[in-house]
Amino acid sequence: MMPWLALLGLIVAHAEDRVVVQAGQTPETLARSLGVPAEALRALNGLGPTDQPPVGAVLRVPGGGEVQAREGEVLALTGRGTLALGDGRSAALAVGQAVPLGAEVCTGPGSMATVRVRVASCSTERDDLLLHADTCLHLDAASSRPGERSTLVTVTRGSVSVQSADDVPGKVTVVTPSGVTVGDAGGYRVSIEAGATRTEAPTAPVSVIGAGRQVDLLAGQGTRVRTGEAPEAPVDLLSPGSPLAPAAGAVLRRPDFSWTPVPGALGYRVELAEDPEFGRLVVAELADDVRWSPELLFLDATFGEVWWRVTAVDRAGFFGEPSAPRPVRLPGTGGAP
Amino acid sequence: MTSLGLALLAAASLEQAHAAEAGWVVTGGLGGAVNEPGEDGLAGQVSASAGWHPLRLGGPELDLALLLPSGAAIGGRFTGQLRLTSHSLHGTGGAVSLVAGVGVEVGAGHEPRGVARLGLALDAPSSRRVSGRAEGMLHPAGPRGGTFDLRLVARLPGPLTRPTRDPLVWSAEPLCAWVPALEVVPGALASPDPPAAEEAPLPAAERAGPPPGPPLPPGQGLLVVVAWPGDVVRLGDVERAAGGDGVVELTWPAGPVEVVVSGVAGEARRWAGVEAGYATWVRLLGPEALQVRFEQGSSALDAEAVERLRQVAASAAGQRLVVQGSTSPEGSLELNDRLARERADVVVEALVRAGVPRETVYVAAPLVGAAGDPEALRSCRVTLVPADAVREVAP
Repeated sequence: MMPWLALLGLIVAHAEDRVVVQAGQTPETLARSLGVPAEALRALNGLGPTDQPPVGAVLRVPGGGEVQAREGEVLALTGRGTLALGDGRSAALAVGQAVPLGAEVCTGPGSMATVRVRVASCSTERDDLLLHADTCLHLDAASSRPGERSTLVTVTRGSVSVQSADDVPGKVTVVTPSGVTVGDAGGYRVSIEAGATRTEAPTAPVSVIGAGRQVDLLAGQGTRVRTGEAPEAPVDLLSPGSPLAPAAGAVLRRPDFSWTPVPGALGYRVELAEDPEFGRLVVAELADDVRWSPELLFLDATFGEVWWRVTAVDRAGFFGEPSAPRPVRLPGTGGAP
Repeated sequence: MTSLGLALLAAASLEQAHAAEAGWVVTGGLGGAVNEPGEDGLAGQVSASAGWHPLRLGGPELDLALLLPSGAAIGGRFTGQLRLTSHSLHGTGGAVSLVAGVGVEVGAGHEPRGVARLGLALDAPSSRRVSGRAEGMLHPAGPRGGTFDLRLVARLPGPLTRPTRDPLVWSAEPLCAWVPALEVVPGALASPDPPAAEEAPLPAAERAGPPPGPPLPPGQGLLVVVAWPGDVVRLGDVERAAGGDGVVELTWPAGPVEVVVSGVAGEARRWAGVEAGYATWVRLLGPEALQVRFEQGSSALDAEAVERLRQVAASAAGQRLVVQGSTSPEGSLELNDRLARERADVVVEALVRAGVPRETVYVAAPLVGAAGDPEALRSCRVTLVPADAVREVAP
């Protein structure tokens, strides 16, 4: 790196960082990839010189090097939720709120929120955590070092979708009561069920860990891990249906959404968002047929456009690959009363 | 390392081209001040202002060596990749991501001169392209340094359908600076420079569709009532007939409002909440099913039923009618089946006499032997459905 780069105002901090041990990793290989001394990593986690932590163990990472602190921010909110800070304070969730490390974000029933975790300095590098309804997420650790971002969250209930942006891989680890999901490129969803955790990876591979065993999912696969058990064998997720109406770019006058049926689908989920990445999800509804015609629909008209997509869900409860997002324009203003 | 400073200032604005179909033009400026040459190149310092948004400058190929100590020849080259990304800067067809390459050449000699070149490519789902150019000049401020500025003019292929809300990021590791968010100010700004040859308008097929309607007036929201075609929608004193797609759109003051829809078979009501700046759809189909009652064991229509069927016929344009006869459970299945079919036939004939094309009437399988209110079952149900929905309700 050229010397003048050191003066560029990048915030270099000794951030709290954590890492999950995956299959084949040792403290030494982890330390090497993290750029920290192996002895320090072992010492911080109380590991003797020959101790091998089990797969799925969460290790604290010594600070130092070029680790940048990161924090979260509430990017979008539909409905209501709460933000509880680590010091016991709590507040109603609001867009733009900072979500520091140690904070817990919860969405209420029928509500959704997106927490964006980004590098503290100016950066396009970010990971979006979309909390579906009635979900609680604890931001445990978030850091960035050259060439890699790392975020670790604990989800105690509900369902979270992870999206990563930028060219630099964003490793997001989701810990649940039943298992751990680790993904490097986002695009996956982790949902808590009774006594189990369901992971769907429609677009990118992830690793799922339970009871010290790791199962690697290919893109387009899902698995379920029951508490105290190894993850189940991967299952293939359903392919997406093709949206039929409304057409791309059409004006949304009648909110009648339809799509082609997907073989093996038990039902479908229709989503509307303000952005094609679906980071600002505003509507998520289940439909048991190949159409969705809401009785009531409520959308922010400021930006004149929303995106929609549909995802099939199979009989085992796995959501498949979403369809390509389609923009629809909101109607223009009509006559005044 | 000797002291050396590079201050980057950046600004960007968005202008609408004078020709409507030309869409929007992004203009941006990048300025720098260079002074105090160093032995090993330039050191940079980034200035940031509150309220501005991130801009990152640099790239894997960045090689900044503009100035040498006083008296030495000034030569150098600055190349890099700029990535201009907005995740909510939406042209028609998708998010806009601009990828730009920048080259700044600094001439040899005591008086620095600079030329900046910029190429742009649009990375959007629709594969629409944006063309652009940048011009720059390095202004000498003595042998020990100078300033440079860089102006960017880019043309987006169509109108923006929404302003940006995300930070506009002009990026590549590892330098950082800041650029304000783009704001869309339709028609408020002057035309940019005449387009260069490479900025020829895109083919019509790649142009955007018509822009959305004007923004909602302050304190008002958009209420979209979804009804049957021909239904009458009332909100207070305002009355509108639903068009061919059954939709009535109104801007309406924020607050609760009772929506009343009158259709062929009666009236339906619902309260809706209108919020300023939001669009609210309310699906309120007037009672779409007309139930024609019969006396027990009879398939004869009374005068009132004939009149109501006439009303249905008058409102059925563009729709299909589904007719289903039914009977109460008393009696044998065979008898009831025949009676239910007779009731349906009688209704169909009345509709046809009232002007409904026979081919638009669909007779559903009779409903016989069903549990429920016997009085209600001694009837024939006439249901209006959109023309393309008949396949779904057919027996």
